Amino acid sequence: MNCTDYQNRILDFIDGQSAADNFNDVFFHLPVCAECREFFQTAAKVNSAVSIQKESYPASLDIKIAANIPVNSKPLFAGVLTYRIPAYFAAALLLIMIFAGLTAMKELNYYRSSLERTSIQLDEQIHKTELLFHSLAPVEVTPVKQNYYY
Amino acid sequence: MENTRLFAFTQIYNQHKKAVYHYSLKMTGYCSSAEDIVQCVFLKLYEKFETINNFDSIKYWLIKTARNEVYSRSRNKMNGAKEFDEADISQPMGNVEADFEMKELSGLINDELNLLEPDFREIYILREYSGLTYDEIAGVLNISKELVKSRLYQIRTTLIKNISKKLKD
Ligand SMILES: [Zn+2]
Repeated sequence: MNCTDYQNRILDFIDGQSAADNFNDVFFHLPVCAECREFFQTAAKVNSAVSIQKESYPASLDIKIAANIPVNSKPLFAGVLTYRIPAYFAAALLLIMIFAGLTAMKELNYYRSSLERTSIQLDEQIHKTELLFHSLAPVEVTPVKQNYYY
Repeated sequence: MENTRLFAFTQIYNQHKKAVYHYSLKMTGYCSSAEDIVQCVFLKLYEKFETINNFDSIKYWLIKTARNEVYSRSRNKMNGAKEFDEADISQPMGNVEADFEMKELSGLINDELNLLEPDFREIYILREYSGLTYDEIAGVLNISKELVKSRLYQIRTTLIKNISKKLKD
């Protein structure tokens, strides 16, 4: 495998096209290749930036769309009592449902957890890579002051 | 029943509005155009709700409809008007981009997207901002899945390497 292959694997991993297990080869390559390491770090950053960009949405658009839905006043109860929903009532209902975020909450949580999973995986990989890199490179160890509590 | 339709419509709207919005925003470069397109797409969905029988591929339908809007608008704008002006994109699109590094990075991504050939840029947008699968992108663009995959490698590699270089400068 050459660097292009490793970089394609990094892209697959970040894109969710391959499992973390398939990342092992890359994991051993990163400490010895500055180019791929930099590629991985930038790819992770770009991925985060795009994820953040994608989350934005103009709140005023919810209102605009709810107000413009051409809700017909169709019969709500057919039969003896025929009640028609006024258009403004239906639009208000739509607006309430959009803001109540009936599914939005579920969806948001789903996205949030999948985003967190990806970022945890990325952090783990970066951490492992750093550990491995430090274990291979001659590093000067600085003693760290620690407090122990028994 | 109107209520049932409203309920189902709201679910679909909440689930896919961001994908449609960001596709339109990245393709047109204007927040105002993107908002118009989102509105137009979802109004069409509401009108045609009864005729849609496969809601599994509703995102695909929404993006294809948005795409038709994007292209018909860009054709109408051809008369000397600037077709794409990314000025709006570099503006913060809410409070999520408060973080400086992310803001800088977002700007760099937009700059890089502007440098791409339109065909290539659209593949990237469809994958990254609309979240379509490789198969769906192939369907929207009428190209093979293999071509989608190889172009995505090419685009992402170029984008990441150029951004790396700029971040170092
Ligand atoms: Zn390498």
